[in-house]
Amino acid sequence: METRRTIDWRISAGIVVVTPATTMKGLVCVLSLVVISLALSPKPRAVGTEPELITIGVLLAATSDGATEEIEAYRGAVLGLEEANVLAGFFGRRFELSVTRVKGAAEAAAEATRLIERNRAVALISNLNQDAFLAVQSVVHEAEVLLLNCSTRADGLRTNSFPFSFHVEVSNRDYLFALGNCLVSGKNHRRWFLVRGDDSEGEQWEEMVRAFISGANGEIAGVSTVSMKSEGECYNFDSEMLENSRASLVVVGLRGEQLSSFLKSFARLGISLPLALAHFGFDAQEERMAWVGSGPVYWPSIWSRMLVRYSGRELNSRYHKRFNRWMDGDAWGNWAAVKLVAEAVIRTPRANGRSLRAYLERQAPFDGHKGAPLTFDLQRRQLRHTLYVLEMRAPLNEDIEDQLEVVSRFQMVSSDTNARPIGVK
Amino acid sequence: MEDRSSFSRVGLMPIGEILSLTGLLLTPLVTAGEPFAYVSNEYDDTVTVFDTAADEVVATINVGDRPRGIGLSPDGRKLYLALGNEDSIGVVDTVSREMVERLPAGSDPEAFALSPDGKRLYISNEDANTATVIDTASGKALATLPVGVEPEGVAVSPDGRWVYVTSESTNTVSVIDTHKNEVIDTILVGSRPRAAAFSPDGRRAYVSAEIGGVVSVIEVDRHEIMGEIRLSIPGEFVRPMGVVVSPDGSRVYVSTGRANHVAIIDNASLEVLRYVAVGERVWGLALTPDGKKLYTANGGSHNVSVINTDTSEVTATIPTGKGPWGIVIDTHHEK
Repeated sequence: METRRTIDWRISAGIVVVTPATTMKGLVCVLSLVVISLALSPKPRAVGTEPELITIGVLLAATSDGATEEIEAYRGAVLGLEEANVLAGFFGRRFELSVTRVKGAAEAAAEATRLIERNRAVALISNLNQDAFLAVQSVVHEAEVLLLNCSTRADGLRTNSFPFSFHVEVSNRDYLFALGNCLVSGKNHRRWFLVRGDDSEGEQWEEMVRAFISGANGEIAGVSTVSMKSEGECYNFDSEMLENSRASLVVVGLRGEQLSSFLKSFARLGISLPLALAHFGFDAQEERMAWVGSGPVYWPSIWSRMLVRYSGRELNSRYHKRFNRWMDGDAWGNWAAVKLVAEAVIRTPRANGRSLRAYLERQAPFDGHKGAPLTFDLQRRQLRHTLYVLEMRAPLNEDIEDQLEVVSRFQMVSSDTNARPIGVK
Repeated sequence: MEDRSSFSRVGLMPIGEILSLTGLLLTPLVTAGEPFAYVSNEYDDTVTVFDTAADEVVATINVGDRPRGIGLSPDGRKLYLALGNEDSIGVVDTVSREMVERLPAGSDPEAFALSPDGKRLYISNEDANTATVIDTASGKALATLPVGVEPEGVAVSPDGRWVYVTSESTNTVSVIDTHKNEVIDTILVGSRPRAAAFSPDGRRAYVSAEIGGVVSVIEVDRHEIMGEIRLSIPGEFVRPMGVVVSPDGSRVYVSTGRANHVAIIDNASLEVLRYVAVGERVWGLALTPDGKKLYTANGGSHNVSVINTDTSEVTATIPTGKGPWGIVIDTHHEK
């Protein structure tokens, strides 16, 4: 397939989407349309002057064949852009997203360079895997451009070695802490049966879980590993081993095809033990509808359509009105990232990497519709925000949404204490 | 027993709407006496009426769905209520204490302010990102003005010239020129601005910022920030919410939401003098015309705290319906 045909222009919305293989001719065409669009667009309140155009780059992983518009991260960024432009319009500025989908670390680095050098992006928002994120991080470190991570959860990335990097997405450890506290303290599940991959990532995850559970007066009742080499292979879960373990719930540290296979296998067995998903949640309605298991399922998230307080209802309503879908964690992360950059640009005299970084480091409170001022933990470059634990009760009936509930909320406070419970809704 | 029929009453509104009536507060019409207060109860669709002389509940009025913003006509005969789930402003006759009218208010009205002459209602429409101007006589919308994202608090300057509308998601205050019915300026304030209030002389305005934890002080002549007051209570997450200014302009009172305190600010130095502990999740505030008593709507504990402003002590707690949100004090209508 010729990649050029995937070039898309949504100039009126201030969004430009290009693929990495976009030719120079294509780029010139895109940029020309930007100029034409700006000339035709309504003047902002700064009467008599053209709005200053500020570009934010958004990097999406090219891992599926679906259209960019169908990616929740993209939708979140678009809502953030539209709200940011209401604010920017008052002050004679205008934001634009330059969205690109990339495969692999090398392509990610090349695209990051292009966004910075050609598009003059003041900040990049990454929705990439760890390797690709690291490649982009090297680029922005050299160029002194802001980088906001909205997808990679690796704990090792949360350091202060890269001062232009900030993490909106939460780390594996943060998620585990929120989920674990809910399960142990809130639900009294103290005997955990673990299911993890047989690779080093799985080993590290088990180590992290063991450290948590020992500190929480719980115990590991058993561990089952899944081969990470054979993608999509049906996983035959050893139900006897689980039964003999007398576990009170199953905690799953899988993702992707392995997780899908495990869930199918687990559901077929009709086990009614609660299931906790550490790396994944049934955030999308289609995922909830597809679940045929008989026990409750728990997962941590940074956002939920069930949130009402602190204007959660208003943000959910705006997102649903715009896209006819409910906002999930990916969408919230990108919405927040765009708004963080926009606020930094509006509240600082110069929209360059150093001043934007300084603004974020000043701990200016950001409103994420979570009821508390959100600021960055500068040791970990991590946005401290509220995590939620969702519960989906089973068996499902027709009114599936009534069976989804936010059962716990955790406020991240610092790199030492990580997170603390702030109550159950 | 006091002869209440001789009382005059002045309306005071909970989150800045006080300003629309501030001119009246200072007129010779104000005489000694203790007026009725009205409290909107968000969760049980009622208004609690209490007598501020005895600080006792005298009536409960059933109103429409989700009453929050509350205000009185200058003559005290009409009580207006923003009914968020009905997209309307309910009008209660304060004599019969019955709902007599519903004015269309645009989508999801939360807060509003009345012009000093009572002829215009300025309403924030939260999910439409607009402010609606309503003619109170005809009930018709005169204008719908685009403001920031998630508009919330509304305040009218004492001379009726300016209307300030806060927008929570853009951290802005839209300035409406009431002569033109146009937004003529936008001011960047603290994160998640909620309420606005003007000083009695109209020279300053105060805007609370819930997430920012600050109160922005605006010079009204230039519509520019002239100062910022940070609220802080050790161990508490302070969320500045409702704002009222004392009749003599010397004090600014700010409720702090779930921090369960009211901040008392010296208007000259812009410094916090004291925090007074009140009920849970405090928001709406109202002062008696003489400024001697401050009432706080405590949404979480379903009551109103009464503060003696001379001693800064809570002297009484009055039970309300569920989720008290705003308060207004009637000082004109005769009982």
